[in-house]
Amino acid sequence: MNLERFFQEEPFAWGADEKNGILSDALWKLTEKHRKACEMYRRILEALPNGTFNSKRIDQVPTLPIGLFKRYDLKSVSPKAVVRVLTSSGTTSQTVSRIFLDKETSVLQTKALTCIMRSFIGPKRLPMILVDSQNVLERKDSMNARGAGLVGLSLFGRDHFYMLDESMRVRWEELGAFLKEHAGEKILIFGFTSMIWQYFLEEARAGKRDISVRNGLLVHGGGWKKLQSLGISNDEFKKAIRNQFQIEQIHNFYGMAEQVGSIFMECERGYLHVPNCSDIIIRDGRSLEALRNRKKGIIQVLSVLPQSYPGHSLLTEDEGMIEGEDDCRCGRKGKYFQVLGRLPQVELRGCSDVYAYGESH
Amino acid sequence: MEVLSPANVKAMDYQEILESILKREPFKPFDPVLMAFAKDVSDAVLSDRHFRGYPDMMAAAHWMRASHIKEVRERYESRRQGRIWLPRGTVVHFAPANVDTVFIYSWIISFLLGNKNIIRLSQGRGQQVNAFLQAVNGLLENKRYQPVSDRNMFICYGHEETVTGSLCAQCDVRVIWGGDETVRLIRQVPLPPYATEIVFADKFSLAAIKSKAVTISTENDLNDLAGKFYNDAFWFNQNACSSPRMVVWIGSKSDNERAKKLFWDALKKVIERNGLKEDVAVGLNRMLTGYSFAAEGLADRLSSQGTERPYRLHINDLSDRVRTQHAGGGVFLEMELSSLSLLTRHVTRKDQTLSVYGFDKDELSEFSSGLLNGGVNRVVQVGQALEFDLIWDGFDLFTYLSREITVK
Repeated sequence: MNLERFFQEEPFAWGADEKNGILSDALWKLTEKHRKACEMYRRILEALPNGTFNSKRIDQVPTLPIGLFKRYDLKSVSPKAVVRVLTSSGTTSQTVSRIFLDKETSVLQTKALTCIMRSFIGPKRLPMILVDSQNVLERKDSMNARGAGLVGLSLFGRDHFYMLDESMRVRWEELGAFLKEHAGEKILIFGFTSMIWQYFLEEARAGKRDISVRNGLLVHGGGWKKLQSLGISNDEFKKAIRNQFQIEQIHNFYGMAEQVGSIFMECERGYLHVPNCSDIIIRDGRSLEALRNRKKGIIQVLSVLPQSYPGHSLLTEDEGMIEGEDDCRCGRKGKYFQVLGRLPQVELRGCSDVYAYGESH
Repeated sequence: MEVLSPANVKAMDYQEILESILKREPFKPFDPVLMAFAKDVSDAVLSDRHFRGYPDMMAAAHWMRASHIKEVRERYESRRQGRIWLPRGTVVHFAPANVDTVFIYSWIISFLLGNKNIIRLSQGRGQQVNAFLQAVNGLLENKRYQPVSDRNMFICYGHEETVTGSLCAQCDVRVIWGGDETVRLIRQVPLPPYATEIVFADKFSLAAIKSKAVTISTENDLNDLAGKFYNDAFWFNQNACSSPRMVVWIGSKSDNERAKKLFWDALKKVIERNGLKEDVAVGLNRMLTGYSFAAEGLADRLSSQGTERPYRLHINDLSDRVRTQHAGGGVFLEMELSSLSLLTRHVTRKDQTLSVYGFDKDELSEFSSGLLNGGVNRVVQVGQALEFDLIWDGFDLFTYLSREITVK
């Protein structure tokens, strides 16, 4: 599929009028493509009421519950064409999603990510600190979301420094040396939110380490569930990082293994932004109707990147709210939104189900 | 290890309590103390406002009220036909995690027949179970019920094999309420050679509705049917072994289509009227179940693209995979057949209760006598699926929990 036009312009250049037609066209084409190529996807579409979709609207694109990727190997390419199997990090549940990438999808993911990241960190590669351990990257053919994030983001840096050792302890001395060597330069720091909190921030606090990264640009995301359970909001996270390390520029991002590449980055105003190649819709938790801006609901994510698996339209288990469209004060166009957290999960089999039932009375 | 009843004993005493229970003589069947105690438990629950929000608990208490226990006794006498039936001795019950009130029936029947009882309750039991035990413990403080207190114990522990082992080593009957996994685990623990066992494994239940009967029914009848079906299905969120998870429509094509529309619309209204709440995740899980059925090719039509409740999945074949993939929570499988007798070839030993609507007695007995491949143990009218019966899963509890002495 030719998606060049999605990457020719700035990733946040399109306003709604310009974007909707192009995006809807691409998403419906993908729906057709996957219907033809993925047996399970075809069966689902055929079983849905009004199985023949005449609509061209984006909010009518059939959407799969994201949990389906934990149950089935959904793919639209032959096993031979698969270059990498991506798995979700699976920290909070035992089952993980398995996402099959072919070359094309993999290339598109990198392209999209590059476009998006450049908008935030500029065109130049920066000296880079990864708040993780290099061990995560050992296997190339199969990778979890954490590894994929590290590999993906490392493209935007140079002189990469993995600051944690294999037992997840900060290599303080090497870190000091790295900062000294790059004094005065802008430094890109990347890591997963909960890991930054637990292994970097809390360790620095506990050991009273005075590390200052005034020129740092921190990009972090994923693993919000842990901080949510500790009751730490994005704002509190930012404040704590600023206090401890004096890092001024901090960008959270929202993304998932099921749609790598088309991530949503937090702007200078604190909102997550939808790039040209993707979209989000907030839906009512019960009726699944698309909600207006500033209404809280379940996040549906759409992306033109997934060519090798039918993951171009997914209903997540996260709650969010669209703040507005095309008018964020940061200057970027497109929808901008917030993620409010994960839906409380209900284990459906056995006693806990009866629990939920009993307690709701 | 936690001893939930009798109250005021330390956990470490459970061995002692067990020993003392084992030593005591059982009651005679339907001893006046037993009857009085059952009545008092029933009264205590029915008069306590706290239980109003738990229809399952209310139903259990209703089942235990004096007038019904009297009926139970009459049934017992008519089955006994003058023979000598005595309690078997000590019955160990392993209650299920998914249906909170089953242990009450299991216990009370065994209790009325004179047996001594040890009941292992799930760690995941609901608050209403604790409230129930509180009521029981309150009654046991009465001196009059000391003999009851001496012969019944409710406990809760993880699945420690040593505890299960010591409970099973000296019992006379073991009653296991499934899942299959629990049954498999507990079955590995030996019983004394003389002991017997009643096992209730995972079951699947369904409803068969004669479409013609729905299409000609008045609006009142239809609402009544939907209301009864609602109770069968939603009291335990479809998790009781006898709650219907599937509806089979029996009739001509056109009748089936019309009946479906009428029935599901009526059921939707009942759900709305009852204001049955659920977490958003339950609805999303329904959708995930539907999409999974479709992806696997088990269902060829879904009633909704979203999270609709009831969520209907149309199937053409009732396979074992279909049974195990069903996760409750307001999902209904749906199939059509031209006659009830055709259903026999779809049922297996996994199937327990068939709730029916619109069939006459002859049709039902003809169908039931054709059930040779092990499936379906109960055929009841819609609305009675959850009613506990003295014959459960094909076991006559009177005979399984009694021993007969032949005198010639």
